Amino acid sequence: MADDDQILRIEDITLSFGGVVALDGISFNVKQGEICAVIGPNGAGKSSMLNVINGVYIPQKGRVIFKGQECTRMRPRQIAQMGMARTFQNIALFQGMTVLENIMTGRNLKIRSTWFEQGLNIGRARREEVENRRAAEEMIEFLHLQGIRKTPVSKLPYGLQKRVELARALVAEPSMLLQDEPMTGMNLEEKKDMSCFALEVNREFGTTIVLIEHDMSVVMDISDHVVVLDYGEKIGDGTPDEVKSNQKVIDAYLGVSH
Amino acid sequence: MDTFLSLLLAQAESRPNGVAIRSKQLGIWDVTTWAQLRDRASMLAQGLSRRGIGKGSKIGVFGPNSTDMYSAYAAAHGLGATAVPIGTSTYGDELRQLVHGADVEFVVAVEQQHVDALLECGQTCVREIIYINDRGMAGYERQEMVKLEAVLDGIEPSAEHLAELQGQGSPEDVAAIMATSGTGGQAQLIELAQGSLIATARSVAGRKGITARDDLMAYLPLASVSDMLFAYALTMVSGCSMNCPESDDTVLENIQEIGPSILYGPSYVYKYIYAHAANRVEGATDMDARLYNRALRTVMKAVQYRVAGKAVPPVTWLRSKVALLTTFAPVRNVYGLSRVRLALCGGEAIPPKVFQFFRAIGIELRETYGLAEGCGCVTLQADTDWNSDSVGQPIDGTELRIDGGEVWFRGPGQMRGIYKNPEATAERIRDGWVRTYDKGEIDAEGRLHVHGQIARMGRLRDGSPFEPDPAERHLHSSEYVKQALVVGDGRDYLTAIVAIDGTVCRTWADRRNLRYTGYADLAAHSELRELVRACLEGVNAQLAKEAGESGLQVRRFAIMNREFMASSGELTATRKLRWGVIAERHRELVEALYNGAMEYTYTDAADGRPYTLLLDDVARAD
Repeated sequence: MADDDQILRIEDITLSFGGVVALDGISFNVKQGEICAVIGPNGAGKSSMLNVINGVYIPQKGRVIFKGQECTRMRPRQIAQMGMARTFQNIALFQGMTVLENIMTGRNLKIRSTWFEQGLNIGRARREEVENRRAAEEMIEFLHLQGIRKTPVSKLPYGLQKRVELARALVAEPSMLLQDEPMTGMNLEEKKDMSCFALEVNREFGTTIVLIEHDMSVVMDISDHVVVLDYGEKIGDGTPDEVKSNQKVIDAYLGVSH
Repeated sequence: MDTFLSLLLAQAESRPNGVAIRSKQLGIWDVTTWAQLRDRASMLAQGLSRRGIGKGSKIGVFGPNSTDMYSAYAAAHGLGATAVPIGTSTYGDELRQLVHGADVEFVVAVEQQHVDALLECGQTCVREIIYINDRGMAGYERQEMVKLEAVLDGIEPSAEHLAELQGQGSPEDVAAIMATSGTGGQAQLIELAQGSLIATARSVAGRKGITARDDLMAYLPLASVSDMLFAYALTMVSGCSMNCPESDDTVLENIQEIGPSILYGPSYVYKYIYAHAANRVEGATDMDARLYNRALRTVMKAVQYRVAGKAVPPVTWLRSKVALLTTFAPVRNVYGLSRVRLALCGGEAIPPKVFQFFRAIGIELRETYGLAEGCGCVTLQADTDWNSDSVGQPIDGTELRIDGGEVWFRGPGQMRGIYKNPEATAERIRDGWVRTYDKGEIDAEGRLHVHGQIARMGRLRDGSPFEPDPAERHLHSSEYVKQALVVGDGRDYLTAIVAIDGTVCRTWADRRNLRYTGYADLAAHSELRELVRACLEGVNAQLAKEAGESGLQVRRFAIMNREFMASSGELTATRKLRWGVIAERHRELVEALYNGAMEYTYTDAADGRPYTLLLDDVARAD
């Protein structure tokens, strides 16, 4: 397998909080254009893993290499500028703003004009505003949010808020998208919608997706690649079928889930 | 005699910069002028004719209401080809049957989901799919697919080509093959000539002087004849503008933005607005609700005089004028109905209360009676018809006849026949008259009164005649009821299966602090059962008052765990109940209603989960 095939390389990451070892020597690779799921029981270190990837946590040991560049010690903003976007386990939208406004904030990193230009709405600022609005509108169409464009986010049901969050992440045109438990708290139909959107995003924009998920059935259906964590250790890594037949995984996770 | 092409050329000639179509794309209303529409149609017609499409070819038109779809109609009609509109929710067997049944060789499809539906339904007759939007189409390199841009590559609008086509066109050319509503069972494919659609649209336009200054909404599924007539044909004959909503979810919002002057809708649209308004009042503060209800009572009282054919007393008139000005002008504005000059209602019979509500708040709502076999409009009420019991007089050149209680009609708008089925055509058209399978009568003023489909009528076991229509219509009057099916043929008494309106009932339940988790849970709530029971008691009282027959009372009822849905085949494209399908699918529920059971448990095929429905008597046992 060629090296440049891999958009993300996790090398021997160890992260601990005081005496608690959250991640213990984790390594895995994510290929360009795949959907990779990181699964594991509660407290397995999944969210920590995601936070290490996008620079929120700095691990004590190991390296994160994104697009061939080490980014272990970069700030989240720098990493975002390299084309990595994420959504959160607890919705992190601006509750008082409308859907459209929230999505527009996702274009923040693309803005080159100065606040002076923006204030007067001249030159680059004007051009960028049109560009950003178009990008936001295209995303609204893509995720079928037309009916709620001007609705304040706080008035939307949970499932739709998740979708708005996805739109905001995607509008930054990331090459890789991190999703932290995108389907928790959703009903069956919302989960189905969300999986379809993940697949469509992957196919349409070629976005690599790394997602953390609890719901096994969803993960197995849409992922190309599954990494299983348990108590900070990697116990499985492979295609959904390989993982399903891995005895360690069955014992640790599948065996106890219903 | 005119064809759609000659109409298009005339409109583009007389008002090249007038708006033909507005379509909302990416949050912006995108305008197509008549000259642009002509040019697009010209280019598309050339592109299609290079691919071998000509007179008599069948072109599937598959997508949501949009400029592209209506341009495809115009191009197809220019070529003398037949458009076969396909509704966006059509897939699987239904799609295969439609495509094969109409011998569709080419399809103009909007995007990937439509292409997928065509590829997956197992049809084998489509030679080429022309798609418009290439999102998600990257992996679809196939011989039988081509992007619209490639079809139009290197083509310029050509006046000569259009003039040549105009010379070849004839009003006899079949404009569309469409499916009948098929509420009872199998839908049939009927042929409508260009001349028929044009004549029908002209009569409608003539009734209210619809002109180029008018705006109408094009929001019904393409596959419904109403859209073909009241959006496409009406725009072509009158030169008015048609407005396509952004998506299914935004129709109400888009109506509000446009403020159409002409609005056609099946009765469910008006019911929806009515229930929506009632819902807002339900959720309003006490003071607001009291003011609104008081104003509503005032205007409804004024309408009652009109309905009875009497003059409105001056004091009532004045009070209702004040109520209209202070309360209902804003209400009309909220729903984008301020500019409506003419609102038309078709489809299933509109509940009297809903009809009167719109007349009362100052909207000229008129009922029409139409079916695909008559281009979607056979009769139309006059503005002096304040009562919803008739559907008005026949449109220009159309005659009605009642034969054995059944309504027959003939006129310029009648269908050519059933596609490739002379036997069925002979069954439907006799001596030039088209049968409707509807029961009805004509009053002294020549107005038609329709009493429902003959196939649904029957007799109770004691021999008294049974008609589901009156009970269903009264049930629909309630804003809490979304859908209702009344059963009784061959039984001892009538029963009703009711689906509640989720939105309205939720607000109602929230006001009362009821606990529930979702629609199904709410529908099974005991308080809600009492609400539906109260509705049915009202229905029974109405029925007793009207017919004086205690036999036609609804004795028992069940509340469904969900609304009936188009996706599970229970509704037609224009959301009429497919009573045949529902009665078949819920046969055991109907049996349970008649054997006195108080509960019925079944697995809903829609989501594969078990539900327990509570069955109850309308009259309380005490």
